[in-house]
Formats: sequence, structure tokens, C-alpha cells
Amino acid sequence: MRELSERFFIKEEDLDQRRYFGSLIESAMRIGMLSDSDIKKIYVDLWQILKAQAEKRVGGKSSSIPKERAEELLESIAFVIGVRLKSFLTPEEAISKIQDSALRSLFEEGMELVRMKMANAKRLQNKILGNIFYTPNIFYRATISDGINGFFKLYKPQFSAQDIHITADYPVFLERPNLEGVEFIERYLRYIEAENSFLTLFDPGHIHRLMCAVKKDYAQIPMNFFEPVFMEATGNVILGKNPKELSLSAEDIQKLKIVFTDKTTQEIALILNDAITHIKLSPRSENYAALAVFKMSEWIKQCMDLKDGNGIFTAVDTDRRILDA
Amino acid sequence: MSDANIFEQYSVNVLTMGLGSGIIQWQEVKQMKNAELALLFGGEIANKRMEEKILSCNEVSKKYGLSLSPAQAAIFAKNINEILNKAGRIEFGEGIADRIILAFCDSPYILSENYEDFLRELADLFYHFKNETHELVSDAELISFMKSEFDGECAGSMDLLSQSLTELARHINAGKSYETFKKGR
Repeated sequence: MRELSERFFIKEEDLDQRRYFGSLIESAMRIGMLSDSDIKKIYVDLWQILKAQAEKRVGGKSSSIPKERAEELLESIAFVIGVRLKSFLTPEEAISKIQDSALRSLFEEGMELVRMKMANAKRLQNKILGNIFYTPNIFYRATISDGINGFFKLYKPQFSAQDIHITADYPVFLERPNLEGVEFIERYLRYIEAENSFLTLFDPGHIHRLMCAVKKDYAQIPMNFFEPVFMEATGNVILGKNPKELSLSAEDIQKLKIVFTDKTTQEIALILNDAITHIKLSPRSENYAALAVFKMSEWIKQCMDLKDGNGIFTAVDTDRRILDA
Repeated sequence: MSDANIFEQYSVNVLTMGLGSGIIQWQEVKQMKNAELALLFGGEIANKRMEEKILSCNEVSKKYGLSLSPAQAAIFAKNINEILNKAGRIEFGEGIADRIILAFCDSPYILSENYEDFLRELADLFYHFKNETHELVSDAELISFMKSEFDGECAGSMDLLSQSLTELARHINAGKSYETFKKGR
């Protein structure tokens, strides 16, 4: 490993997870970590990889390709190398590897990681489908089954590793992962696995009753289930009720507004975190819920400040009439 | 211009552009000439190699009274790069300059006085129709077709050759293959 005469630091938050290789090089250049000869070596190495990939792409039938295709191949190569570089402990270590290794080896190691991620994504999909939460919503199962199968069918990591191909209709609570290719699919499925695991703790009928109260035609639109179910469950816990009932009344909601009145975001987060401990979550759902609490706390604070606390919880009754929104 | 100078000339553009969504921002790069792009990527004098390959073809072409001087080879190599740039293509292999020379040098319609011009026009047609046939006709097939048409039905006419190639492209774009086009000729 090359010795550095000075310490260089690259801020992780400056790195674009969708184009990691490119942003890593840019950041390194900005702080002087890469010399002109390093840059030239990168380009020379990339050209060699591009040549090899282009030859494979055309199957030996052509000695030239359209620039657009070369650009796609380069994006794919950069994506694959980025996958490998992300696996190093620090960005500085990744830069050191770029300086000391042939990019070809990083590319091949990256391809291996991409294949592992594909296998992991398939495993995640099978796991979810083996215990999928039942809902009449047309997008939920279709996304996990048909949508993801569509990705596996169309995905060509050798030449377009950065492509996603599918629209990923089901909107997960933690928002669409800011990633490309199989990294996106793997993260997206992890989120769905966590949400699905959480949702299967509840009676599908109770969830259906709740979702109809949120939006009558919810079965026909792409909607996230985790958020309303999570809020309803934690609302029940805060009031000392059974979280699995998912049936807050209008009176319950008024009591919850009082609980959250004049609370800071951090205090709201503490309340939610405490409530979670009373719901038996799987480890995967626990981690997901912990991330969700932060986002939900901010939203609750906003609703309390701007909307008088309306819209946080949904009141339902056993007849599934909407009592309050 | 030396390797280092060209790299330096473009280093501001290249280094500050960084590695965009691909490796380089292609909007900037397509302004570069193909030889300089290959130079930047390949780290070697790509033009020089092409010139050497072109000159090596003189061994064969001189039997037919055709040859290119080093200056003419340099011009032809430069022409190829301009044609590639115009066609929006990148050469990653050995190029087709030598293959075109070796395929056409025995043509009865190419004489020493029009040799350079014909080579340039043939290269232009080749890369244009590589695009028009959407990579579905290999380099070897396209050169072979061009030669057979040029010496045959086209009787050395570039205009007629272009028409034949247009028919081929139309056939390919209709979802059919090069093999069926050949059978139908």
C-alpha cells in the first residue's frame, strides 16, 4: 500500500452511491490524492476493459461500436468497479487500491460481487414470497413477484450492470433506494422483506379495515402499508391497548394528540422507540423500524405544528367507516 | 503533438469533468477527435499504429499497381478518424483501414490516380452502413458485400454501391437477415 506523506480524507457524504467510482475519483482529485499519472493509468486501464467488453458485446463481429453503446458499456464498467470499491472500509483505502491495482482486477472482483448480490436478491424474493402478507392491493404482490422476476429476466450485468429495468411500483416507506442495478433491487427487497415481516404480525382483515379507512380504493393504487400500520400499532401501544387490534377511535386519537403536543422531534422519537419495544419484531423489522422512527418523528412534529395533529393516525371502527382523518 | 501534450491539453476538460455518469462526460468527449480520444484512453499513438498497418498493405496492393506513401497513409488514417467521429463510432479493435485496402486493391475499377479518394469513400460508406444496419451485419460481411457489389453490378460506381447498401439496410431494418438478403441477390 502506498505510503501517504499527508493524511487525505474524503467525506463519505460527498460520494454519489449511484456513480460511486466516478464521484470517488472526483473527490480524490479535488483533494490532490491522485496524480496525473494515476489519472492516466485509470483511463488506460478503463480503455483496456472497455475494449475487452466491447469485443465480447459484438461477439468478434465488429471492430467498432456506436459511441452511445460505448458510453453504456463504460457506465456498466464504472458501476461494477464501484460495487467493489464500496466494499473497502474507507474511501481512502479504495483510492489506494485504485492506485496500486489494475482496474481489471477490481472489475472482475466487482462482477463477482454483482453475481452474489443477484443470488442474494433471488433468495430475498423467495423468502418474501414464501410468507407474503396477504392484501387485495394489486401492486404489492405483483411488484414482488412479476416485477422482480422481470428484473432478473432482463438484467445483463456483463454489459449493463447499472440498469434497473423495472418500475418498482410498491412504494416502500424508507423511500426508493438511491442506487442502481442489482444494488437497488437488493436494497429494495431488503426494505420489502422488513415491511412484509412486520405486516405479517397482524391480521390481514384488520390491516384491510385500516387501509380502507386511510383510502377507500387503496387496493387499486400503489400505497405503502408499513406507515399506517406502524402508526396505528404504536398508537395502540402508547394508549396501553393491544397493538394488533389496529383500531384507534376518534377519542383515542384526541388522547394521542395530547401525548405529542409540545414535544420535540427527539422526544417524539423516544416515545415511538419505546412503543416499538412492546411489539415483537423480527431483527430485520427492528432495524427497519428504528430507521423509520426518525422519519416518522419528523413527520409527526410537522403535523403537530402545521395541521393541529391531524393526519397522523386514522380512526376506524369495526364497520370500517372513516370517523376521523 | 506528443502524447503528454495532448493529455495536458485535455486535462482541464477531462479532469474537471471527472468521471460523470459514465467514465467521461460524453457531451464533452464527442468534441474530441477520435484519434485523440483513443490516445487519451489508450495511452498510445493510435494514429501511428493505423498508419503502420496501412503502409504494410502496400506489400499486397503494389502487385496491382497501388500503394500509399507515408504521407498518404497519414492522411488516410486521419480521414478514418474523421469518418468515425462523423459516424459517432468508437474503434476499439484494429480498425478496418487495412481490411478495406486488402479487399479492394485488386478491383479493376480502382486505379492509382483515384486510389486515395476511393479508399476514403469506401471507409465512409462502411461506417455509415454499420450504423444503418444496426450492428447486425459483421465487418467481414459488409466489406465482402461491398466488394462483390462494387466489382459486380455497381461496376465501380460509388453511387450505385451506396444504393445497394441502402437496399441491404432496408432489408435488415425490416427484421430480416443478411443471409436472406444474399440469397435473394
